[in-house]
Amino acid sequence: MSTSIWSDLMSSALVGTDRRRPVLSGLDGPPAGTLSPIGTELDPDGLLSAAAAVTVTRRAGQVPARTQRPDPATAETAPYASAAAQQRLAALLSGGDAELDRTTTRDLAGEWLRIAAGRGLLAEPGLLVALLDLGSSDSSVRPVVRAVGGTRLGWLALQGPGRWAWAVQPEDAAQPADWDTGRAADRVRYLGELRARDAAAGRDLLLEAWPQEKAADLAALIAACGAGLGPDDEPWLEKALDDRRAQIREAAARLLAVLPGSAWRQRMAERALACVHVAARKLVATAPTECDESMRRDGISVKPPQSVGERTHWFRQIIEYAPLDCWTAFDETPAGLLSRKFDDTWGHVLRAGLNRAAITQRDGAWAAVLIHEGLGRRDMNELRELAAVMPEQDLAELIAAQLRREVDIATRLLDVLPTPWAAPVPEAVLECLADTQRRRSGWWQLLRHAEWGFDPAYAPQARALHDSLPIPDQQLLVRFITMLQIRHDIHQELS
Amino acid sequence: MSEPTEPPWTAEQVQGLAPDASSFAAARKLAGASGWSATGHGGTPLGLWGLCKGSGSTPYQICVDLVEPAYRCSCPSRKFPCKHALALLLRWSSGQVAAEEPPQWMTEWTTSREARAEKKAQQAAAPRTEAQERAAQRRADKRAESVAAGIAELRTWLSDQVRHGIAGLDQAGYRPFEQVAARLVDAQAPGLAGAVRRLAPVPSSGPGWEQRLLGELSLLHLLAGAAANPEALPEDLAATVHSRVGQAVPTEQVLAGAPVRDRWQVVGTRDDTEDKLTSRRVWLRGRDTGRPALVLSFAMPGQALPVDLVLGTELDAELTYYPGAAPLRALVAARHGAPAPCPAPGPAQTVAQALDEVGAALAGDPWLFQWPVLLRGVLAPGSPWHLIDPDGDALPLDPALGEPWRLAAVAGGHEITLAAEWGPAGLRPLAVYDGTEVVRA
Repeated sequence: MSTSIWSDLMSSALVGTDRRRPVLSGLDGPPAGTLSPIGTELDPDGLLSAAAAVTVTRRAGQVPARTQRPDPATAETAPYASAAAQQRLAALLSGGDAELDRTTTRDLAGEWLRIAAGRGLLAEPGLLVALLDLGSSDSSVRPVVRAVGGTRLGWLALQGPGRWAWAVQPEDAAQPADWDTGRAADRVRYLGELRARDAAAGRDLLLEAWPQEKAADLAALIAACGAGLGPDDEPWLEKALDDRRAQIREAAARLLAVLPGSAWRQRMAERALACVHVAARKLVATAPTECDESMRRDGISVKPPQSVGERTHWFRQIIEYAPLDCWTAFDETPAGLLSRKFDDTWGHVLRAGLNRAAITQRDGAWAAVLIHEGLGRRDMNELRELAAVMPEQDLAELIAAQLRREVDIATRLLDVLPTPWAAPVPEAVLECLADTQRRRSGWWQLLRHAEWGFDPAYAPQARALHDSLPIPDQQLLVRFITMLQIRHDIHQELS
Repeated sequence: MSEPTEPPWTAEQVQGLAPDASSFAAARKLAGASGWSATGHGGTPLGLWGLCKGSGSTPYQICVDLVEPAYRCSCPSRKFPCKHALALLLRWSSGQVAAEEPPQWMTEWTTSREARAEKKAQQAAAPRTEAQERAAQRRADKRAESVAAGIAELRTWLSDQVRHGIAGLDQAGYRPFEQVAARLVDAQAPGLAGAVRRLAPVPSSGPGWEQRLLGELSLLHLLAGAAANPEALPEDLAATVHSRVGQAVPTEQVLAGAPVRDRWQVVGTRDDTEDKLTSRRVWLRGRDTGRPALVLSFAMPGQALPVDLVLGTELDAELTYYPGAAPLRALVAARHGAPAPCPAPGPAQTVAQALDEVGAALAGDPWLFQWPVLLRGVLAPGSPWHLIDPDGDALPLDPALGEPWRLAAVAGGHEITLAAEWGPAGLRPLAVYDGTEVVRA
């Protein structure tokens, strides 16, 4: 009814009544009574009055719209976390704690999510948007966000903007299409998953595609066959060793190295033992004088890096790859072998090679023995690599003992100790913190690590220690205590 | 005696009282700390008190009047309510405060507040002298003259816009509007000044701005015309026009109006900052009368807004409305008892009912640009979003306000109660009630 009046008024108002005088061409309905008669020319005031009548009429006469209802979310089957836990997460996600920086509150939120996911508890719907935004900017938390978001999260992500698409469905298993058309990483993932399900099918798939693959891709695909590795794989891996491309040979050699009873391991062991013999209880080593065709075939690299001699390079690789159990030829235990004297010429290369062997072959028993010698040499990189393959309890005891001697070295090893730290590490840390006379370098670092390394159940002990210290020392522990308390509360609230 | 069986407030309600997020975070921490003593609740009016160890040697005394509510704390904080009062409320909300007889320092505070309230009432009741009356009249005359001049200028300006055409206004920025608004402030017509200032962003509001701007200009023209000649209007409409122009109505006059007693439900609150002045809108809806009401308050920078009406509570009280043709703004004239939690406000409206109510209100006050509605229905994302009631009727949400995903998450596509402001551009959500809790927009 008012559309035509309105457009008349609008076109005059746009260019100005000076240029275009509005004339009401026709009207009916409620505004009619308030306006000038049809055909009159309107002045500016007349235009505004007419426009006001139309505007109010339109607003007062608004009619309901019709539109599609969304499908409702299905009910949750898992329980929600407690009200206190929800409030905690809300505070952590908003970063609304003046005492802690943004990164720390984010990390604490991550801890909340991990624990809740582990216990099968849900975050309340009011927090899902914040969680979706967190997951959109940090893909590492997506699995736990999916777990605590319940069915409501997927429902919301389906309605919501595209950046939430990752939350719509739980991460699917790789699809066969990934193999044919996917990027290299997708193809590697698909092959790995297929190998884990059906090793023979994966092998056939790879061998079929073999001739068309580029060297780098093929090497990555061979590595993916580490999943489901078995004796049936030895023939094709041996064949791969005849490939003229070094990348392919090395990839195949890595798998043969971890395949129990492989001929490759046998060959490597024979090479290692050929270089070492015992003379008067002393280990005498002799590096190989050439890198022959069979060594090259087994994946030994010929060209040394800069400042390393050729023979050293070859020898070290042989020791690194030779199965560590071959040394039982000389001694029953690693400790037995290492208690021997090593000869002066090649002995140090043999030791370095054994270190690498323990790390590469992830042999905890060897690492535990070697690390004690490493502590003397203080090569931190190597120490951490050895520590990382040690059994957790052995490492905890080693670090606890080291904390009483050299705090900084122990602290750097704490990086690789799984959290929460196993006893007796927390006890040793508290002891170390209590000893205010003996504060050493690495002390700060230790506190920072302890914030996350401590099982929150130690909060009461930590607080007791804090309270027993003189005031200036208490200040130094405030952050540690606060963090531990918050983590303690998070665990309690989620129990 | 009081009824200490009154259920305590929820943590969400306490959060609603916090002046800022950091106060509430601090209060949460404090509530869990040791150092509390002599806490209790009870007395008349129902109160809450406690001692909290601070950095000094004597603990802070915290008193809360739960009926008003009002707060006092002996700490030096300028925040109001301070973290101690909030923390005490949180402890009460988690059931850590027992019913007790109030200590002396609590009753002293209560008594002194009552005495002050009485004195104020006496002062207000005292008749004015003749000289005061004359001076007041002179001031009023002078003001009327000044407002009339401002209105005349505004009418000329409005005509000029249409005479020369509004097509170029999207290139002109805020300046033309700011100048007129400043002139109207000088003319003591702050309501008109605010209305002109609200026009400023319209030309940059995207496609269709010309339509929206002409609509608003025309309504302003209607208002200025009515304000130039208020004697010609019915009394109610004249009062509406006066309030839209920005003429203050004395509080006493409002309180002298006919009280409406009801269980008033606080269904939404919203703060706005305009020109350094912070305003708080508290939307109420009577459970028995179904009437809406708006309690409006203002604070200058550094001042605290009143926090006596808490989202998600209801209050047995008498309200008196400001005069007008579509009465909405009101004052709380008298309270009967402490606020109680109200997780499911009602009666909720259908879309048709809400539109009828809005239409009737517009018939009284054509300049209305917000009116509270309490709708039952499903929140549907889209462009624009909609609220769809059980009859299938839908109202769009104002797209300029962004997408309320958090509310959608809470609702989960199920039927909820939505408290919102109706506006010409669509609904502005204030809060969602899912039957057990209230979630602020």
